[in-house]
Amino acid sequence: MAKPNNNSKLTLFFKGDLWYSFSKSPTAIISFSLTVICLFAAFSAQLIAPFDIFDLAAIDLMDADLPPMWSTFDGYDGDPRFIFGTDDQGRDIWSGILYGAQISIFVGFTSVIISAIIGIALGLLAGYSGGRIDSFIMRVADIQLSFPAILIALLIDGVMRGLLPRELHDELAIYVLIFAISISGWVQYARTIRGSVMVEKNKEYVQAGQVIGLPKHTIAIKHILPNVLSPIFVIGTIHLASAIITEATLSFLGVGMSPTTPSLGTLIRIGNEYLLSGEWWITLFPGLALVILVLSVNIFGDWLRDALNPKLR
Amino acid sequence: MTLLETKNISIGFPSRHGIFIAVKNVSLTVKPGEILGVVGESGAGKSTVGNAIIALLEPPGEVIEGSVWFNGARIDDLSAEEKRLMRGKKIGMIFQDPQTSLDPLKTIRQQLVETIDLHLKLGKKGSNQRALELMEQVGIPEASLRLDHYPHQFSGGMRQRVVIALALCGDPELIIADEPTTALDVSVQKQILDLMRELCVSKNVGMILVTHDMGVIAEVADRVAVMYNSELMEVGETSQILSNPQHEYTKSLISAIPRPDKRVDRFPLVSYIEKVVENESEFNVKDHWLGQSRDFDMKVADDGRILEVKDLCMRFQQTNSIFKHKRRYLDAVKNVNFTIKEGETFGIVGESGSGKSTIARMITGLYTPYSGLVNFLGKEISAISHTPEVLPYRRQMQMVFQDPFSSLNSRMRVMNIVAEPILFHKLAKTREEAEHIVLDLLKLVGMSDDAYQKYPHQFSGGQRQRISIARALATRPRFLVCDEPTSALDVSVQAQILNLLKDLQEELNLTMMFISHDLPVIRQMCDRVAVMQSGRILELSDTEDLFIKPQSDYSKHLLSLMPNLKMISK
Repeated sequence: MAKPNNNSKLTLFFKGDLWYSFSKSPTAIISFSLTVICLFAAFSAQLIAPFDIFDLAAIDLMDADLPPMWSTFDGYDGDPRFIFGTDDQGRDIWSGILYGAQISIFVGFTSVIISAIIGIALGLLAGYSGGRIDSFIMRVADIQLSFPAILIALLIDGVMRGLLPRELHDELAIYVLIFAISISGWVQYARTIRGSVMVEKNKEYVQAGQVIGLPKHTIAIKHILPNVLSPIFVIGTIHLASAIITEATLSFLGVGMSPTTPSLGTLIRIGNEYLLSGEWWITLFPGLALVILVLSVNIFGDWLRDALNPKLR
Repeated sequence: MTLLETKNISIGFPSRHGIFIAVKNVSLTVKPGEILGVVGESGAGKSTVGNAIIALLEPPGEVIEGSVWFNGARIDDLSAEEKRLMRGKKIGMIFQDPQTSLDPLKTIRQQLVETIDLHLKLGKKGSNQRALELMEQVGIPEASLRLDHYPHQFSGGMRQRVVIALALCGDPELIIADEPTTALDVSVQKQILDLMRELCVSKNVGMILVTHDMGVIAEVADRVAVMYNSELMEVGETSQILSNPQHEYTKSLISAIPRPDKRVDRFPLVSYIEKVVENESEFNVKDHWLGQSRDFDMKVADDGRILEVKDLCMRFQQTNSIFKHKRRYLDAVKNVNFTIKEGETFGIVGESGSGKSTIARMITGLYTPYSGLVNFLGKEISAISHTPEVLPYRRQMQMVFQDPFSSLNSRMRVMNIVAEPILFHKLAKTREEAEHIVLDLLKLVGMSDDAYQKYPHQFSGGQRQRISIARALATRPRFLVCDEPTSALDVSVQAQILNLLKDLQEELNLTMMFISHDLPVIRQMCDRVAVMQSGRILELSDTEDLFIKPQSDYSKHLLSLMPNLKMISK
């Protein structure tokens, strides 16, 4: 019955304030385009990367340690096949960056989504039920918050390493990483949701639901939840940047992705060993890629937070 | 001679959608010693006029046309610095909310002396002396002692007196008061209005009193300017405007004011503002879904009682402690007894904090009573609030809330909001049937045909309240609790909603409990009234009796505070 509707959500969006302030803000446009370019490049690595870095047959040790194509190092000239040079195994750095970014972003996105689901569920439960359940969940959150996220991720990773056999560990490394990062990030979502839920649950539309006789879970999920979700997009965007960084840090420390399936962090770690002997490109280019990716996501997230916050207008 | 004159001023707020004109061609004059009331409903532009005169328009608003003249000199084209010096010295301002218009970190003395010093340069001793005089003039007892208190140590009314003293610091010739009594209780409102009247006469100060309340205007204003939709409708002597309004809008506005002196069946002429879809019940309610199936196993008692409340108490914990004797409680409702008969409208009236909303919430099951019984249709429903067994009883009882802006879920379409109770209680066989019922309900409460597919924010306050009523009716209730259903609405919209409630009660044979702080509204709506003060019922009588011969002192006191609207014709 509710069919004829010429104000579709899309046209409303383009007429809305958010789109307007987006189109007026160069920062937002640039950071958003960069983010999109990074995502696009990373996820089409299989199509645009010149080499398949997972294919051991395609790697030739004779190509190892070649400098970027425009420079010379130690008597070797750059090879035009390798734009940013090669690493100690003869792998193309540029291809490595594309595949590595794919893994980094995949880990980042997945752990953001898992953290958000855990955080929203616990925050809604805590805020709506109040009392002991609320105290318990929030104390757990407080305790967790008193450890740095990276420490918790390290801990989980260490435990997993102990539990899983070594061969399996390399295979499951990516899931362990995602698990570790998601568990360390839910607190922020839970706190935000709990705060908004406590405001919303005193509003009259919730009381109206109670007077109608709706059960508690219907009120919580159907009525309160949609009204508290908007801050999640902001937190999620900013958390995405920090999840990518956490992943890179863990991989850099050697507890994340293995060198055979490298993420950006792994690439930086591999390059780091050669930095002092002068082979700067192995670590610089993955590092730059990480900076561009994280910075653009972060700046876009910051803009989104300001644009959605009516108090700052 | 005129003190202030605005010549055809228009005020615009530029935005990306073009310039929004908040005030169109308004010309006003104020003489010394005169109170000019500017009256209008929300969004009429009345506050903007006041702010423009004193050059406190919120950016990006600006005067785009016309001029403002003060004592024969043009003031709207002065520099920002010159305007700053005018404010406080020549023109004083009184704001709406005394809670926020004083600096909480400074004593009253500091705030007064600072202002006096800035404008009059009397020196330390002179400033202090004047501060004391002002405090006495505005009627604050023990003025010399109170000067060194902080704002939070004053009550709302006293604080507004301090704000008035602050406005008088620089000996202004004109005072602009923006809703000065809206945030105050009725009893305090009257004192403040008397004080303002008295000060204007004794100091020969002109005043522009911006308000939405005709009662306030009738009380103090010499002349009235009526504004509607950014335009000036009519200016005239107060008595003339009230008794013989010329403009159609003014007529409609005056007719919408609930009359304290007699009961009328309906408010006439109230369709000027919000066009209501007039439907003289195209469908016969008796044959319709709404009139059917009333769970006839739930019989009203033989003497017609539908609801009985016995010794109802409610206490809220204020401070918690593991030791019982250290816990502090607030008794919000103390031993309340009453019965409501089928088909009547039972009113509860009282000032804020008297416990009237708490009673409504206990009856509808939002609060569990501390002690006492709520007996509805012969079933005790207070102890267990939401079990499947009580659900059919709860369904017979619905509530209309005070704030139309928070009582509808803003993420749901109107269709889903109203259909939800029908679907939940399985009152319709299919979703299609439920949707048909929703459309009929929306028609019944006077909403237009396309309302069902919109979101709540696309409607005005009055329209939202209609939706809220439609939702309450969607469970086919027999008993409707209305908790201040119109106190957030403009007076003309209030009249429409009250008309609607009366019509619905008649058509559906509803029993209503109507809670309000507003005695005239109670008189128009209720058959019997309970007067409440601090959790107790002081008087319970028929409405006409209460207004003609009140029994308790408190009722007499409340009645004496009703705005005097005798001037209104008919």
